[in-house]
Amino acid sequence: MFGALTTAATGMEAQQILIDIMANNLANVNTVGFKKSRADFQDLLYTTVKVAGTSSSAGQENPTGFQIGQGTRAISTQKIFSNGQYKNTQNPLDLAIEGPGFFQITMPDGSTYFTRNGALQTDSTGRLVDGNGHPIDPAITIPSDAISVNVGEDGTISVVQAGQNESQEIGQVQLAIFVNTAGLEAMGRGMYRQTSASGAPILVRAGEEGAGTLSQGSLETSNVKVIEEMIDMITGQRSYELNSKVIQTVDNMMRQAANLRS
Amino acid sequence: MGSGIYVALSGAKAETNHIDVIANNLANISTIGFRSDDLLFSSLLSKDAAKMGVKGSLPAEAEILPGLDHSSLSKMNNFVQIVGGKTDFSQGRLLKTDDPLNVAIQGEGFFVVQDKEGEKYYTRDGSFHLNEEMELTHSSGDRVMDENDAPIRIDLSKEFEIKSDGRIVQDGKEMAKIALVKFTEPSQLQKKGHSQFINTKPETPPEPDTKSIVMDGMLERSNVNPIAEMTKLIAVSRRFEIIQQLIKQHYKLDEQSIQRAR
Repeated sequence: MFGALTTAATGMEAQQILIDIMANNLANVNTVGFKKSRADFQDLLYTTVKVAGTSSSAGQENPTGFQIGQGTRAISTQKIFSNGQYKNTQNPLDLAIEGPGFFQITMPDGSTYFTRNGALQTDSTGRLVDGNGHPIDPAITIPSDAISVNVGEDGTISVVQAGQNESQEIGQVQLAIFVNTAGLEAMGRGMYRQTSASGAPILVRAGEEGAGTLSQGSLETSNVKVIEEMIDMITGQRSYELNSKVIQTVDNMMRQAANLRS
Repeated sequence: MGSGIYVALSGAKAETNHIDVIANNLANISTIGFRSDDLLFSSLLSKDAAKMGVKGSLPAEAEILPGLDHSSLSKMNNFVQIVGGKTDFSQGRLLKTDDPLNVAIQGEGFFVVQDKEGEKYYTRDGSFHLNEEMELTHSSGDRVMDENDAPIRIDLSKEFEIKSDGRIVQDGKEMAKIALVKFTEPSQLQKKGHSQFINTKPETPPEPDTKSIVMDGMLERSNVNPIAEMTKLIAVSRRFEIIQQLIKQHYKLDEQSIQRAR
């Protein structure tokens, strides 16, 4: 009887997806290097009751058609790669990229993933690894007798070893930039994989060819803005309510119709 | 038996169509580039219908009534008829996404997309991405056309920029220009779903739009006004209630006449 019932249900479903995504954004508000997501929706097919321009009666044309839509559906989610806030940690192995660019991580299967999370550590052999223990690419090993580690804005890593006065260059952090960053596929744990849509990574030194510079001793927090999410949550909740009101109204109308013969 | 009950019924039918349209608007409150719909009602004077004597010019309910004398209805009865739908093409609010492949139109223009069969559609949804051939595609998978009706290829090895007139500039050179068209009579557009429109009058093709501005890194939100929709929803449900009361009254009147005749 009423298409409005199912139509409103698709609307409620859409708002539920929005709230799910928002919940994930808010849950990761303190995740280093986290990038928030956004959902995209499309309207569903339309039932055309009357086509515009067809003749209604002798010599007359319907100036407008009459179509009834059937609701909405989610088609994709997208990551938004705007920069997050930066926080100072004083930890020499915490690196933040100020501007575009990704660190490259070598996965156990040999493939390369990309991340903005620069909370690096050293493993038992002194290799620079990410929080999950995967080495960064190109591999850099910090000598065990290093007293201090210095990372330059361009990613040059130098150390002062015990018994020496001068610092020594031991490697260079390389950044990957993408022409279409939004095309990257999120793999969880703050890591991304290249896709045909993102294009191949362009490997550059930090600060060159549009890549951001490195800042030692600081980390990039998530780009989730709590206020924005709260506002979106309010509109999401209200939109959900609006759609549920449609269902209530239809229910009322159906009850009245059913009670006609009483 | 009076025919007033059929007039009420035509009103009830129109209201159910109306609520379907409201439900679709509210379901698409988060759909990028969505345009809200409304219905146009008119009273169908049975006098006119009787004069014309055309079968089908009266609502079906009236036709099936055996022995219905059109001329006797002529003085009082106005059936409700849906003349057509009306799509509101006003500007939606803009949403910043920072995705270089997201574009919003400020103005009355439309993007042109083409499906695999070569059929052209029009859309305000600029949430574009790249397909495997590196062609700019709409979220439905249809390719976005340039000014010369050719698909737009983007070379991801270099930075690109989408200018406010739709030009895609790479290395200071213009690679392509996203087609922007406008319709002098937007009512000739019919919704197809997937945030796309069909031109129902192929004999009047759209003209190039030079006034609209393309905004890169932005999307256009749905132009559904929740307050207006809610108000309509309340009005519809109240009108439906009144109509149900009318039908009940008619029912009672008939009952009384039958009893008197005994």
